Amino acid sequence: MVFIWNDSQVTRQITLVYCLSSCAVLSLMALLTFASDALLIAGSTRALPLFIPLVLFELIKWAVHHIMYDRDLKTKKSHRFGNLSVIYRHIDVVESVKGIIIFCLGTIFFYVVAVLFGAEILSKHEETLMFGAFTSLLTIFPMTLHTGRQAVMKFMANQPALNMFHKLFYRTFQFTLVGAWVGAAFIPLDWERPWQAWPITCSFGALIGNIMGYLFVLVQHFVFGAHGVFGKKKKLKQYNS
Amino acid sequence: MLLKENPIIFYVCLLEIFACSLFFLSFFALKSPITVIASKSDFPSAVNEHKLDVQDVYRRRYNKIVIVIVDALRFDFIADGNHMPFLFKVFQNHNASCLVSAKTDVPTVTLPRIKSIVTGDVSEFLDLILNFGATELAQDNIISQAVSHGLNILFYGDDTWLRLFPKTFKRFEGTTSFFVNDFYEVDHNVTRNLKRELLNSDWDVMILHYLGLDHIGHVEGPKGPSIPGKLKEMDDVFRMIFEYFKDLGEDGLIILTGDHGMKDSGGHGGSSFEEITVPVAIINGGCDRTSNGMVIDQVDLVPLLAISMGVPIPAASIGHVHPKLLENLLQPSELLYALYYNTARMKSYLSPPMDHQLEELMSEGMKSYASGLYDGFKTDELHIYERHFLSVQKHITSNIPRSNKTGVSSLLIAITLLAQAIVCLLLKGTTLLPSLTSSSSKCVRSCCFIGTVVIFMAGYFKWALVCGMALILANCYVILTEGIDVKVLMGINPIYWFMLILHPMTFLSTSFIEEEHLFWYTTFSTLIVLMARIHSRKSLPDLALILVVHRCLQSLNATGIKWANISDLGDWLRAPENHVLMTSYYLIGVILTMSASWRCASSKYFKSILFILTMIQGTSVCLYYVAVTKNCQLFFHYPKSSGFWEVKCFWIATILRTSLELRNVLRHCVGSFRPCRPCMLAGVLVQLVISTLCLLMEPQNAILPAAMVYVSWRLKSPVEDMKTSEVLSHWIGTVYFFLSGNSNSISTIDVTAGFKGVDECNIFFAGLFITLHTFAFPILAFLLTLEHLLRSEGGSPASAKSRHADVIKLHLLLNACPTLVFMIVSLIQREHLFIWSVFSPKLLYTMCQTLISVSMVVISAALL
Repeated sequence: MVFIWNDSQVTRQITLVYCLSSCAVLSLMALLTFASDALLIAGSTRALPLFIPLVLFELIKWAVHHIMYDRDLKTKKSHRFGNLSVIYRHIDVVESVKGIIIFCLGTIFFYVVAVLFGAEILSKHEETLMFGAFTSLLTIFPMTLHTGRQAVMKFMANQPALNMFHKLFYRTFQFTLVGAWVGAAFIPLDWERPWQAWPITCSFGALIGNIMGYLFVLVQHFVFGAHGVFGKKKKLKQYNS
Repeated sequence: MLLKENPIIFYVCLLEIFACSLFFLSFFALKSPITVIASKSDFPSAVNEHKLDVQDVYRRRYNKIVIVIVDALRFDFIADGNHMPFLFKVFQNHNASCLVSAKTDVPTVTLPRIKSIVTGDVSEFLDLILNFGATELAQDNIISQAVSHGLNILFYGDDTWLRLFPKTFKRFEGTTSFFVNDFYEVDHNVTRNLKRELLNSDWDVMILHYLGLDHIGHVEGPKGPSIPGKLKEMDDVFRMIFEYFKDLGEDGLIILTGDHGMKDSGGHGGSSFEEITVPVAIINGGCDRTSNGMVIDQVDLVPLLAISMGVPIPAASIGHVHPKLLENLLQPSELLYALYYNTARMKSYLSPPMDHQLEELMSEGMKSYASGLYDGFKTDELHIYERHFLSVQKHITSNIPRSNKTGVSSLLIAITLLAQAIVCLLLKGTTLLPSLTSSSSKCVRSCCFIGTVVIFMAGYFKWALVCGMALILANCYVILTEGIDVKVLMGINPIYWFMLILHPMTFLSTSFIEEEHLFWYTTFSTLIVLMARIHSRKSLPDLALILVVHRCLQSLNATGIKWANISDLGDWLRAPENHVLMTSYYLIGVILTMSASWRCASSKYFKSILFILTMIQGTSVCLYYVAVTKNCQLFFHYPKSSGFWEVKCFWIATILRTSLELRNVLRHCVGSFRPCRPCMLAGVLVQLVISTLCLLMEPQNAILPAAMVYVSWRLKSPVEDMKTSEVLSHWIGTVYFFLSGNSNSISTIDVTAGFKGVDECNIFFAGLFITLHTFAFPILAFLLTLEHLLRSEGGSPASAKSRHADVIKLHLLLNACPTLVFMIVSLIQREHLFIWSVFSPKLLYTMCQTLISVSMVVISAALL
């Protein structure tokens, strides 16, 4: 399940597809929760069903990557299942269980971080746990799913990313945390709105931050990057000559 | 040395002091009071050509009136029915009695509240500071009205009243409000006089002001163990008066109220609901059970009392007449006359002339009043006659201007001066003297000259304004020619700057001003996390520990406004059932703090004597708390007392220790010897401050000085740059300021700190200790930086000097910039609804902090 790529054509393609789809789907989700009252239950376990589409979406993306990657490698397909056989080959139960454990550890990590940053210790356990789970779902879960366990360990050890796709998760991690940080600033305001409660603003801020992270990578690599609209074409010319 | 080489720093200090005091005085300028004294000739004698018999409709209603003011009586103390059962039973069974709640103005401290109750005027914020130094009240008020109309008034209780009315009362005795640890004696003195006076009959009005409840609140909080007993005592006082009137067979009016409320943490002064809501119990009045639960303003008591006494309503009163509270006392025609009189009076004294809407409403009201007089009032339709007058009253009070409009020019001048101070700190080439004499700095000098002129001209507003303009131009010119020196700002991680710039931006929201501690807590945690990323892995466990300590200390004192009432660790520790935990926690706190003070001033000589003295300090502080509070108990019996001799013992040990250390420094530290003399002196200062704090801090906060010293050592150890460590210490100082329970509200100032173990009141020491207790951590943080700075001598003397100057400048800058921004914000927002409840206290804190930073710089100048 571990990919070790360089910044090849396919990595760029996958990153592009990943960023675009995430931006679109997460923005849609943010809009929907903002428009409906779903936002208000962000702090209770009743919000857990809302996690299912997110998880499914990540799994679909995971499948798409493998199809794209395997097509690039021109792996031989089994005729019976077509593209699906590729996915079937990549499913590894032990790794999945380990991934789930990492997700849970991530939840605990965010729980502790939230408490250290001022969440209540003795009460509101459910809220803090939901915040931890949601943030973990936005950051640790895709990271584990797409780049593998070792990459997460490397990230935790503060080592540089391997390629653009790995860096994407580093960026979104940072942006998500900043988003949650900014979201916390809305809680003390005296607007007396029901959503000004822990952890609604923080969770929503994390979601927005996550989207911003994808947007940032999009703009960084595909607008100003080497092949982007405003990118420097010099390198290409050098390659050509 | 610093003085000779950096005259500019002292010029900046002068500017800051002057700008702050000018801004302060003009922002809180005493508004020109309404000097008119109301008299009987003010009574309107006719309404729309319908002649009225004033003598008959407006006359004295009671032979005897008793006003009982219980300091810091919260609404729920009476309303819950358990604490004062007799009083509560009266509301249920007695006809002409009711319990209403009154909203007080801010600040909720005694002097402005008394003034409001007697004059009915809007409160002055500055009265907060004059709280202990009241002078004779010159404004028109209900007491002098009553006396001039021949009523005999007795007064027993808080001597603030006696300072306001020195020669007014027929008989009086004052009790002093200084000794907050005196719960019972103050009230016994009042009750003793009450018992004697109830046998006399030569008085008309008796005012009693009980202080005990407030004292208990300050020490124990509203849920403290002594509160129920005190309320029972107040209930008995009420029963005595009630039964006196019953035996007398006449219905004397009894009004029982509080001057202000009490926060759940025990203090008062701010504007939270618990502080500004007081009960008003009216017994034998004009109301009945149906008025229970009504909400009035505290100033509405003034017309109520005036009508009951039959005297003119004081001229400046903004109090409304509430017909519902007088219905059973007055005939409809009398009631409407009182309402009409008050409305007409308010209109002529308080509203701007030629307000068409107001004129219309008033004439409508008079028309229906006149028609009622002509046809006779229908009792069940009284509200139809009343409603126009009521809306006029409401209209007038809602349009009273909130701020003083005359002071704007001097506010602007103060802002300009402070801006110049900041420009001076940022200018190039002002570090050392030689450059100041060079040609390039001529404009700087002329700029400084103009600034000085502005200071001297401040008395004459027109000239000062012109000079202020010139100062702005000169500053712009200097910046353009000299350029701003970013050297002071360089070498600090941009993240720090981002946070420092973010801080003044939070002033735009009043909630962030109220909850400023959250900003500091969060940014401090963020800083620690970022430092963990910046610095090497070696400091990681330290930083994690600091983060955990920081989080634990946050739950020690809940502060701010919104979440101030949630129960915190401090409340839990103070609970009587946890006294074992509390005692051990307190002992650990004292031991840690004393060891911190021991480490801060480590002398090489007389070590054993100094150690014994430190032990004596710690022991006497512990014994003092065991003696005065019920929460701390040792395993052996220790007699309860006021703790005078323990505190004396502490002070003697402190003085001996400090002078011994000073002797060591002066005798054994020669120039060649490291650590050098200034550094040792700074250490002695730190030791003195920490030891004093150990005495002043509340038991649950005793651990804070030690925690702060630890955090500041560990956090600064990986940082090599002195400027970064100054920024860090600014952060730590502010964070611990809030951690110790302070906030931007007046109510969190702990006045008990000023009266620890003193047997006579000394206003100077009380003020000093209260200030030291409140701003302890910013002061300590700067002293620690100073010591750190002096300890890390390195390089040539010249570079060391410029480094010192940089740190001092940065310190001034860090304090002056938020002050400047806040001054501008409060100038713009001076008509804001929360100007007195949110902006003014914060302004007070900011000014104090700036002045303290200036005095710290002066102290450091003596050391450097």
